[in-house]
Amino acid sequence: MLRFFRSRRNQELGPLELTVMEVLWTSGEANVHEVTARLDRPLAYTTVMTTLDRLYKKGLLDRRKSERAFFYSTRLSRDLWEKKQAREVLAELPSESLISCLVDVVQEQDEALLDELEKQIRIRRRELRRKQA
Amino acid sequence: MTSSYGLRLALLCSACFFAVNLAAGLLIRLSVGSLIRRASLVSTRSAAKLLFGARLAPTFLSVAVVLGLCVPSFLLHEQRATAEGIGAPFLIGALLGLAAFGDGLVRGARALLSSSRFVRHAGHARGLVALAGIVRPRLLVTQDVVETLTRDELDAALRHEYAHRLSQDNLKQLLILLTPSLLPGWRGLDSLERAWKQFTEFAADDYAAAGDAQRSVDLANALVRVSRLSASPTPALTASLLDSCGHLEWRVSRLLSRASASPQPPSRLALVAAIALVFTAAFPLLHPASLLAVHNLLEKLIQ
Repeated sequence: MLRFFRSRRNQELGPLELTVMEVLWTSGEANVHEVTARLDRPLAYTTVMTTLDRLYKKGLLDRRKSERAFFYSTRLSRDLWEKKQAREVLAELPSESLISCLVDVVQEQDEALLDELEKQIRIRRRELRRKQA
Repeated sequence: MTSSYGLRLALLCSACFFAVNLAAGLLIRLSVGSLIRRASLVSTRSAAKLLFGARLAPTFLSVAVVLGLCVPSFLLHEQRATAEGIGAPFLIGALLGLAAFGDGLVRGARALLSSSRFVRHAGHARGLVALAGIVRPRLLVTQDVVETLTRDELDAALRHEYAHRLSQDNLKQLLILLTPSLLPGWRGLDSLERAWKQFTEFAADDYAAAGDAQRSVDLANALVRVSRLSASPTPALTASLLDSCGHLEWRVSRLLSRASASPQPPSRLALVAAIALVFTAAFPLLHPASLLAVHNLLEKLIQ
């Protein structure tokens, strides 16, 4: 049970991390300046930079360097991230009987997950075709 | 309880193996987090090698200590003629060592049996792209997969399986299964084994994609399409396109976000392990007096 709570704590995002993720999910790729500007409360540039770096290290963001700035984007869509969180919660549940009650829900999520992944693949294919053209 | 020379040697080997394996295994268990972090900094292939080496390290170290220190010290300094008493803790350690060995053997034999049974009945499976077997691995692809995937997607899926064959992942999995548990019934390094499995899948994905963005997308689509076929579960020693650890979304995201495979720096792990083993084996030759000290220590433990 202790392991369950411990691992949940590691996966949970703090309020600022969640806000930054919301900004990136809404606006797409952005650098530190852009994220700072889009926040609904004034925050120091370094605070936002540290938060983005932490999210990157947690594997939730991708980043690329352009000239002297990093541009961050989310690795998973919001929908996909929420499903992943839900699956991790289910996977950590200690009682098998509890899990069996939720099997139907998980299967539905699996279908939705596959739909989402296919959508991402289609987008990536289109991008590649555009580049080749 | 008293025992003969041969029995004492056998019990000594088993007890020493058990003690070193448990101690080294617990150390590795404590450092699993940092090992995985380190693995994520290198190429996926090197990461898989690093984690595989770490998983087998306790067993190799235990064998090196037994063969390099315990056996020579016993053969040189133990008197043949005398029958000596054996203490209960030592006897329990020896029996636990034997049980841990038996545990590994049973696990390996079971996996081999279920794998060969699976290959025989693979015709009834659904959504299967997998490599099964150890010595001569067989590629299993079911008709529904051939009908579902495009030519490029099937090619990417087969390259993924070929990568498993090149890196002999089924053989490595068998070795992992055969390694004695830290305690009978408690493997102790499950999270390390799961991480190794995950990195073998990533490494095979990277090999199949070969740094080509189009191939990455083809493989990602193949993964999703085969998932939709409600693939039959595969037993151990079968490297399936869809691993059973539920990393599908992670793998697809990786394939879509990485246009190129990460570079493959040469691994120094094998070199470090070889040096450590040679040093352990050569230690008694360099310091013959140490064998007497080892023997005295073992004598105390036996009593």
